[in-house]
Amino acid sequence: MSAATDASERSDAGAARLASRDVAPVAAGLVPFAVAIGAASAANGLSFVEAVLTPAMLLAGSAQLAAVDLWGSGGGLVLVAGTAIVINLRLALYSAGLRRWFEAAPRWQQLLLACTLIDQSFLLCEERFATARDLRWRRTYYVTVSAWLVAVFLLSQAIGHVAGSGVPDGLGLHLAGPLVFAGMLARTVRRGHHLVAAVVAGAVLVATAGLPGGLALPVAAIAGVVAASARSPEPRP
Amino acid sequence: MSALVVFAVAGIGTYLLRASMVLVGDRLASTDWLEARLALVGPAVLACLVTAGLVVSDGSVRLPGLAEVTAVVAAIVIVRRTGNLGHALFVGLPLYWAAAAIGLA
Repeated sequence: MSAATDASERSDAGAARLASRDVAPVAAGLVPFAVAIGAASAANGLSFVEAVLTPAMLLAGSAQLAAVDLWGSGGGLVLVAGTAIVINLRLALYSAGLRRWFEAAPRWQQLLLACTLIDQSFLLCEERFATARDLRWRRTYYVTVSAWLVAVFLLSQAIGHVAGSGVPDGLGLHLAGPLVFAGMLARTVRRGHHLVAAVVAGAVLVATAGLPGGLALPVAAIAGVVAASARSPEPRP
Repeated sequence: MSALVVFAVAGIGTYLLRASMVLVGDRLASTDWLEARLALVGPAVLACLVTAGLVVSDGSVRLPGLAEVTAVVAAIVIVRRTGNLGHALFVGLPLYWAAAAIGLA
């Protein structure tokens, strides 16, 4: 992704085009993961309607996968919903980013835009919005990215539910998500303190992998941010 | 209790997290301090997602296969050089298949 947008990309249509181009590989990486969640939904007894509605209500793959497993093994409301919410704690960090991007927008719009805030949309927008300041442009870019991601996520889960366990393991599709995230990481790490945040977060994730309820990810991410902040009192963005 | 009710509650809680900083509103002033830390969230979360995909399985740490490591390292290198995220998949997956085919999995 180039750091700046050229003249043809400064219009609304340009923002939508650019967003579609940026999101394509990310959405492709989302497909195998969403298909796997759909298959897990079927295996845990969710009907097709439930398998389509639950991702629409949560829009959070890791949390949904954990929640579906817990539901399938007889977990109740507090355990299932509580686990999903704990896994999604990182979204509060993203929320601060969303508020900053759309600071000039009315509060109701910010609340509406927050509905589709997920890992991929946060990471793409955080990178692109560093050089794009116009509110209208940002809104178009964000909505386009979100629309693609939500559509691909829901459709892939529906396919996964229908296909069930018929998806062959040998294709290595489990690796699609990590590959795309690794690529995003390669683009995101631009300074020393970014590298510190990444290395510490990865190491803490391994050390805390056994934590219950998916707590490891938010704990590790916060540890990475704290460690990188401690290295330099006011790290430049 | 219906699965839909349980997931609706989880969805409402998740939405409140997504909207939390908007709801806090003006009490959270936009500061350089906050902005600097937000710039670190991306690398930290991405490193967690890559690590989780490679070495964590069902809450336990596992040793990743050489084919997986090769593919991920190649994805990092190629995207670092080209800036094109699509290359992560188009280079990484075939490399994984090739490495797995010669027994590195």
